[in-house]
Amino acid sequence: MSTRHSKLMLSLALAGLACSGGVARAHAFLKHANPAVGSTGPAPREVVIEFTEGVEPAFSTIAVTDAGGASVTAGAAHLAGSDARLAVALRPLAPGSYRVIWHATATDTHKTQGSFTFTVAR
Amino acid sequence: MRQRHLAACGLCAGMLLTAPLQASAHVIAGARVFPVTLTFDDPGVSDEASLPAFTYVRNGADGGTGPTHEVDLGWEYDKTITPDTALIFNDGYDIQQVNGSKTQSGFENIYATGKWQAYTNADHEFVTSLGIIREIGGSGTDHTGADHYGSTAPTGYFGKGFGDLPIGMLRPLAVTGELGYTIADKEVKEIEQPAAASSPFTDGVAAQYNNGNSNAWAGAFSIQYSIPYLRSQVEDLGLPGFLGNMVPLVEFTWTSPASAHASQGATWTAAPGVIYLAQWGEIGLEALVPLNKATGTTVGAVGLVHFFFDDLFPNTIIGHPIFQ
Repeated sequence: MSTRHSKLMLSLALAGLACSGGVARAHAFLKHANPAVGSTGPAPREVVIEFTEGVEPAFSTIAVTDAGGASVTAGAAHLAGSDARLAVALRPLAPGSYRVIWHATATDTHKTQGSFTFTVAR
Repeated sequence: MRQRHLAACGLCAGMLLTAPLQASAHVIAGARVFPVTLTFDDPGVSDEASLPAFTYVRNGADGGTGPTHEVDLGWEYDKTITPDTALIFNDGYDIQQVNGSKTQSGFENIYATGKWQAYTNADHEFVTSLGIIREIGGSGTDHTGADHYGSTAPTGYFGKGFGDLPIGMLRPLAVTGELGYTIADKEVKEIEQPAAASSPFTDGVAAQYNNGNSNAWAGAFSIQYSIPYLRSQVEDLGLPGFLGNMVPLVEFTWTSPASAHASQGATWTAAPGVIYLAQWGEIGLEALVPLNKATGTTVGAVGLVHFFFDDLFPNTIIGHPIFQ
């Protein structure tokens, strides 16, 4: 019995070693955002999201809507300084609550999504 | 005789507590990440492995041959076949030490699970799966309690995040659970009825049973509060990275025999603890608190180091489904 288990574990370990070349990351999650998640402050000119992994800008989006559901973005999301930072420009924002909805496709094609709100103070 | 029975019950409860962990599959449904729970399986499928999982329980302190200390070192490998189906293999190595006796050690039976993630609703952070858990009888070591006969357990799983609640601070909450029915390959049956003593000078005859096992219901439930979800979806409180990756939770597990001649009653266990959730995997630690006497009388512990192969090796066969 123990021989059988030892062979199984050895096989798994060898398989792991054989496949371990080129260790990469996946699943891009939100690491930080500006404006910060749930924050209240002055009107931002853009939304910048820093992800835990690099993303493909062609398959990643940021939508920002006001309390009535109208889009307030000015253009498409684009990389900002690194492949893990995605940004989108905003129109001038009036005081109120805004929702950010993002979809990210990591460089290895794993998809993630999320949303948060921020508030522009009066 | 009663002492021996109590000791046997304690050992059975210990074996239940230290049965191969069915933990698997960090599941993503929309913005929700369901981390791997430590005492039961998660609601989806993924490429990953637990190495190691450890469990410690102490039993038999209320009589019998003395306290039994049992450590189980477990491992698990999950391999997705398609994006929605996976095969899962569990096993473990038990070390049992009874005060005053020689330490016993040996392998547990191997468990193989076929699982189908049947439905995922990203917007409502809901996922449900169906699985068949097969215990391979005789694949473990007899003298540490591995059964000669196997079992089959159809099981259902679910996970629900509360991200759609209107109250922000409640949105990081999530629940997961499972319910299964274990069908023993050889069900316990009475093979000789008890007989009363025929005279004051003779003993009666106790009922005799075959060496089968009881069918059983098994269920589990967890309540989780995800700090990563709070940080990324509700409000960034500026917590340092370590605290910001914590998921405090409590898990409850329950088993109830379903055969007429089962030797043990229902067991209830609570497992409060915390999981550190990282990109590469997770580390979890929980207390095992028996909630009734049939489960045990002392608090144990369970720990887990779990690797997300789909994140660590996304471009290899080990990190993605065999059939995309």
